Amino acid sequence: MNYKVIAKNNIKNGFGLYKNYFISLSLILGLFNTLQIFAKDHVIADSLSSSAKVEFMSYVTSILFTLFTIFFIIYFNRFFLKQRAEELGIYSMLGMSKKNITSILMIENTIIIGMACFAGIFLSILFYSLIKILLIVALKLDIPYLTQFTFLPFLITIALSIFMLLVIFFDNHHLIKRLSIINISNLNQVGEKAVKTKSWTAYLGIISLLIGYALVLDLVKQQQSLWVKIGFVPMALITLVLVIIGTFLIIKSTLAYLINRKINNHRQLYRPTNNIFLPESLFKLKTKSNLLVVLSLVISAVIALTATCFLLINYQKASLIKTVPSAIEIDQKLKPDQVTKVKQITKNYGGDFKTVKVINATAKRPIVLSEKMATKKCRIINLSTFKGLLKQQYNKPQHNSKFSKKLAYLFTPYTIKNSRGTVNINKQKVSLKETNIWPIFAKGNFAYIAVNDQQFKKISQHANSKTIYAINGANLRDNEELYNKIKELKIKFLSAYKTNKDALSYNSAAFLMATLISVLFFVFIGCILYFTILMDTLGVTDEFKFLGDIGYNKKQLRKAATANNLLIFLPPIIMGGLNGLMAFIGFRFNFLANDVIKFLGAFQMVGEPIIITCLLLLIAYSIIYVFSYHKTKALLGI
Amino acid sequence: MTKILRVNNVTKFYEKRYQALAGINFAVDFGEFVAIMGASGSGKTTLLNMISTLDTASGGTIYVDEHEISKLSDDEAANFRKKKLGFVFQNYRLLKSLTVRQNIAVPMSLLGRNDQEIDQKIDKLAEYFRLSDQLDKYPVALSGGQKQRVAIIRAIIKNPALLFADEPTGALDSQAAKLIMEYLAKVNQKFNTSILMVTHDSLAASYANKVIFLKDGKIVDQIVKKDSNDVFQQLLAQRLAEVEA
Repeated sequence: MNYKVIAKNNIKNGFGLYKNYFISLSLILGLFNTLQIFAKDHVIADSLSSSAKVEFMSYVTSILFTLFTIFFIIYFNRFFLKQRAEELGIYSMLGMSKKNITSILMIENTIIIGMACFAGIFLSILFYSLIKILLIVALKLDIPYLTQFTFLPFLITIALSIFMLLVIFFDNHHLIKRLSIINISNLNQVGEKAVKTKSWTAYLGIISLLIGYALVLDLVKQQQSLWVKIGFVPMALITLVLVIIGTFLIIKSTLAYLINRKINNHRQLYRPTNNIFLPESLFKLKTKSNLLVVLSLVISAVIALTATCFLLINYQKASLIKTVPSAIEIDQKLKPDQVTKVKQITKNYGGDFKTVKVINATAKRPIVLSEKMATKKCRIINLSTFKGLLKQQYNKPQHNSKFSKKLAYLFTPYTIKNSRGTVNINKQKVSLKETNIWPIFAKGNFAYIAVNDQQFKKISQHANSKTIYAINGANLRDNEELYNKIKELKIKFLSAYKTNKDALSYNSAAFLMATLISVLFFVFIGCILYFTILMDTLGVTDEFKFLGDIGYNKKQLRKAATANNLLIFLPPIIMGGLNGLMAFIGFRFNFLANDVIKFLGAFQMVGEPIIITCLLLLIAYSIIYVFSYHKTKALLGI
Repeated sequence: MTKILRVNNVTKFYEKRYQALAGINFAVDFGEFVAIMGASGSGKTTLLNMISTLDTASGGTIYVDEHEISKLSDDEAANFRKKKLGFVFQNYRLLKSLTVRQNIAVPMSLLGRNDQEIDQKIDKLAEYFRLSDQLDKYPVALSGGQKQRVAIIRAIIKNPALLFADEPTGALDSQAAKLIMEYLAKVNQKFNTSILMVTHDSLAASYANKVIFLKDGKIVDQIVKKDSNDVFQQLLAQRLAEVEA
């Protein structure tokens, strides 16, 4: 008997069923291989940052990915076996041994996974080429488009594919070996037994999750929190365990308990959609809860990773604007000819040149700069220079209207007291008010103060000073040419362009890896959800046909189908989203001090990453949901 | 006597060339039990699908309970089936995730009846069909005969104008088949439910008041029951063999 022919015909005839599986596998293997190519491409990794960092991230991701793959491959394999239970029963009744049946299944899986592996590798070459071109153009990297080819990434992906086959082989062998012939054809009848729900596990799930979240929120206390008193690692472990247990029990037990309560209330149950959906959903939760829990946890990790990446990107951007306010800031005394050259360069680029005199002074009493810092040492500039520079940097006239000549403005990263009263500086009494913006690089432990021109003149009479030169203008912060021109003068200066480029170079590889990993897992989860709904729908086509026959109209059937789909979609997305956001909040409070967040802007640091991540999640999964819904309608004929 | 069903010159073509039904004319009286017999491919199931609004006729008219059903839209047809028709299928078509009680409740839930009325009716009918102990079980735990009884209760619980049975004994052994037919006959007699049954089983057909024979999409004979079930069964078996030849 030619098993290869049987296997090929099975795939050919059942291509409708296998098509989506093949596409999902190809996409997942494609993304996985893209990650491997990136990690092993030392040319690009070195040009971005340390390749060791990139390799390490890829190594960890590969292990996690492989673990999830085992779970999902077994899950899908069992589904296909159940779908083909009748066919397998016919094989056994015709005289095929269990070994023969396993051989046919192995050949089929080898063909599909083999084809998906090659398709994935081909896709990955396309993906990677596009990403590389994008990086070279966007970051202006000085590397060739074509670099030496390495086979190692492809070997890793092929090894993963072989590993998938081995997992399927052992699963099939284990499952079919222990079944009697009659039970092989009854594979799809397993599981139709009463679902028992327990209230205590239902409540335990909620309590466990809430305690976990409360522990995360305890980080708000920062130094006073339990995390500092008990220790980060033990607290992190406890919180993680509580959240995982909570997620597991809520999906497996709490949801089932709530549905069961509705079922026992016949007034709720005996409604057209409920009568079908509620009992069905109880079984769905029983058979799919493990999958939904795993998906929730993966989504949590992806959300936390994505939001954290956005936080770090914003952190980098915001800190740069705050710490390097001018496009170019020259911190040395220039000779007259040097000043002329700089002015000419500035004029050539359409910028504004400003000379800033900074006086070193001493206050009579310490001036508080932050929660932990106070100093008597001051650096003073005059108010007209202060306002002029701000105008050049922000080009917003309203900045000037906020500043009164009767007051002096003390730069603080965030509001401490607003009005500071009167301070004696170099025998001049100044009324201090706080400001959170400052137009020059504010380094060291100094109180940076802007005073009115009259007071500035008096303070400067018996004080040392230095001169700083600032260049600002439209689009000059990112201007490489301007930077190079100033560099040629061989003077000491701070450049917004260079600082940004260095920060980007240092972090870009890590950000890129994190983005790839997020995209990989987003696609992975999307495929799983889509495929799960597809599998589910195929299992109920007959039931929906029957419901149509006895009088359910298309609207009612669509309602039931929507409810079924949402049962698969919503729990992992809601639980994953909540857990992910809590993890992100935990990260924010644990690794970034409150004053840093206030200085850089709470919305930019926290609000924006959360909103963008939630939007991305919403868009990505809405697309998947819409595809799934249309496929469901097509399969059910509604 | 009022006609519950009137089929007037109904034809059905597939892909504009294959004629499955050719000018079918017959009627069913209110409270009558009619069986349709014929060989495989004679058009029995096609005819049943036309009458039960699951398919549309290419020509002719069909009246069920004085409603013309030949040109109903999908939603109108679904609404009509919901209110007026009951179905019993060969493979039972019970929802495997629902208990027996929940399965039986489906048609009444669809009609929007209140939970107390539904439960009372279920309990009463379950007792009549000797299924009271099975109400909280799932279909997988039932025998074929029990499943078909559940299907019958589900079909009659809303007092349909017309009950359709498509090979109701097809998946049962002879003993279970006999029991099911006795129940169907009781349903017809006790509840006065009009029944239209499609079958190739002469035992099943012997419980009907009238049997219509189809061949190649046409009615070739109609026999009204005058004798006992056993005699009628022999007559039907003989006639079916002649029709199939």
